[in-house]
Amino acid sequence: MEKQGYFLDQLCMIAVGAAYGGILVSMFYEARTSVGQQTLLSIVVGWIQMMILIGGIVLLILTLLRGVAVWQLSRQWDAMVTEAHSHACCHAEHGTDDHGHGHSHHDHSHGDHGHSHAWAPWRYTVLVFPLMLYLLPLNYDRLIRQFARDRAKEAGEHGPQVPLGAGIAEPLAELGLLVFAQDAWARSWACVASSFHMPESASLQWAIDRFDEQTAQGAEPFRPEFAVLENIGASEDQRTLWRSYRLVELSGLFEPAAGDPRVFRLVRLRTACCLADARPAVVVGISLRPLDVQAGAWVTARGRIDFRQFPDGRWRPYLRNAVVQPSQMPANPYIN
Amino acid sequence: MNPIEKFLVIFPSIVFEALPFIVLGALISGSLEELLPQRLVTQIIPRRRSAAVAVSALLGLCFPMCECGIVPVMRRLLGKGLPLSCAVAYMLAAPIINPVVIASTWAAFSGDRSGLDNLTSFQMTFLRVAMAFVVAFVTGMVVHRSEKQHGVGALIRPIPRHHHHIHEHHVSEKLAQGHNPAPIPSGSPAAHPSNPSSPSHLQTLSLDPDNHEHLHLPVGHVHAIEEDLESKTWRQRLYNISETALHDFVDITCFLILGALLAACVQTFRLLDYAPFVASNAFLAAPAMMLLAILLCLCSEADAFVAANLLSIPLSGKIAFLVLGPMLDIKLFLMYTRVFRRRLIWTIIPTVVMLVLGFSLLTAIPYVAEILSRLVGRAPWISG
Repeated sequence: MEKQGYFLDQLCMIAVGAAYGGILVSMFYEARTSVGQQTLLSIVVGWIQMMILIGGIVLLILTLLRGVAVWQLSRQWDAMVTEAHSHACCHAEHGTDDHGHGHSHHDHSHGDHGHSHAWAPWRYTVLVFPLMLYLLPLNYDRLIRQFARDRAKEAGEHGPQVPLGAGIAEPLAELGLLVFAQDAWARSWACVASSFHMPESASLQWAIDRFDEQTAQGAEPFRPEFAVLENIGASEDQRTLWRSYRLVELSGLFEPAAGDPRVFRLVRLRTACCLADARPAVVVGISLRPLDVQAGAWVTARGRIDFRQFPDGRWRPYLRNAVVQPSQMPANPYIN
Repeated sequence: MNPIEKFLVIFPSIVFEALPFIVLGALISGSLEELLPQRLVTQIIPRRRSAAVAVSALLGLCFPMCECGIVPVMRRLLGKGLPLSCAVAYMLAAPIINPVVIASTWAAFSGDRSGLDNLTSFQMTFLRVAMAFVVAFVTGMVVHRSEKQHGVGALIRPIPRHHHHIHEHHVSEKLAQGHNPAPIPSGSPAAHPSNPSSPSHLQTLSLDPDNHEHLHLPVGHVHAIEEDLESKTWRQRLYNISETALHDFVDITCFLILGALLAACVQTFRLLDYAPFVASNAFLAAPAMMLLAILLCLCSEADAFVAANLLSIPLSGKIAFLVLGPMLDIKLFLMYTRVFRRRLIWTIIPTVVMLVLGFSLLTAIPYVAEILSRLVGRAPWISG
């Protein structure tokens, strides 16, 4: 009986260790082979993915060593038991004599010991649970995207509302640039606007927007870090500096804003270790025309950075005159 | 997204993030058990207990561990003769006072965000490290007192050992030499096998009906190991390391999973989003954020980034979150139950909680002055 219980426990331990090692390694392999798709491994950031690979390999080696040792022990067991019996007879009296006082504590130490070494099926049941998640046919690409969008929505509910109808801060400076535009319409609007001294007019705004939208197609954009954008705009100097980038490109998950089909949010998750500590980072974008993009898709948006004071009093950047195109998932979907 | 889907994302992310670190912790604990000579530990630690506790609290600077991996390592160090108070101080402080976490705290609070509390990232990091040290040190000394009062046996669970009975022999030797100042009741697990007067205690401990560990293996095996103690082959050492490591892995992972289950259920209710509303007051912030730290079970490397982004939460809340989180949360509590008995757990938890609460409220006191000055118009003791 003793032998069976011991070996059953050891075998279960080896089986669980091997299963975990195997799954950690195959999670890594799966993530490497499925490009542009999020897998179960994508719930943690890059360097922890490497740690998972290392952990899996270490676990497999440990299990292998333990397996060999237990196998050898099982072969020697019977020989040792017969020897042990003779020893047990000699020393039985010693045992009771020496530890007579120890028995007063028998009761509580027994309780602690019992579940640490007896064959305890509940522990292995618990241990199998995370393994099942890997084996179940769950689409983690969809789940993680849905998770990111949910976090963004929640942030939107609690956070300030998206502003609409913002104007450009320095129309006269824009006018100078517009005169050199390639688009004939934009040039003529600029000429008309300047000759009639109406830089503030809505039509000039229209021309500038149109010009911006056209330049977005050909030119090489500036690609700032998504994480940087969330925190800029506190000072006037910063805002002036960032406005001077005429064309920037950002990629993120597309999340339409309720109410207006031209307004959207680009969402990325700030993640230090895993999705349990993820917070959404959101940059608002405004397009000139209604957008028809599937919610939750990876997109790149090109436009220009402008700033606006949101209802909560903070200056935040937003993407103006944005052109949205579907794209691949970036190599590292998370920012920090 | 329904709650089940959300659970399916959060639960594996807590488990799989911690797993590699538990594997490494188990590997280190197996190696410690096999390769660290018993005498070394007792020689290295300072003779004065307060100095020993202080040194242990800073041990993380040399042996960085995160809070998931530290429990098995701490248990092996305990088995190697590190006094309980030192082990507790190491366990509480090392997840914060180590190079990786210090760097991540620094990084999280640098940049534009740090200006909010008028603290630089250096000050924030220093505050976190200093507070963690004080909390760990004081808790270590409290445990030391309780150790004197009740004995180690009433405080910790027996440390599982397998067929390396030789180590039991060492423990008994050490205890007999009186390295451990605490009077240990004879029934305690550490002292249990010890009976230096009996020349054949190796055999008696194997036959002891209390000692279930050893019943599994026939006594003859003990002789075999005893004989080749000096000439233990590297293969035998590897086998022993793998045995301890695998046992610790299975042992701790089980409780990690249970803790992650609870934490994932809690997180499904979007707790982090309510934090700014609950914790906008400087005095309510500390307890509210402490509760959040316990429920969220974040990794000690990640929590600084979370705290740094909770812009509206005052300093007291942030620092309480950052210091308590790595010392106590749901999954850690479940892991502690594997090592400590109830009495010790309920010594550690109130001590840590009260200390963290007290210190973080201290940081809020400048806010008192500010609130008062707003109420009164001009507070004479501020303007001078």
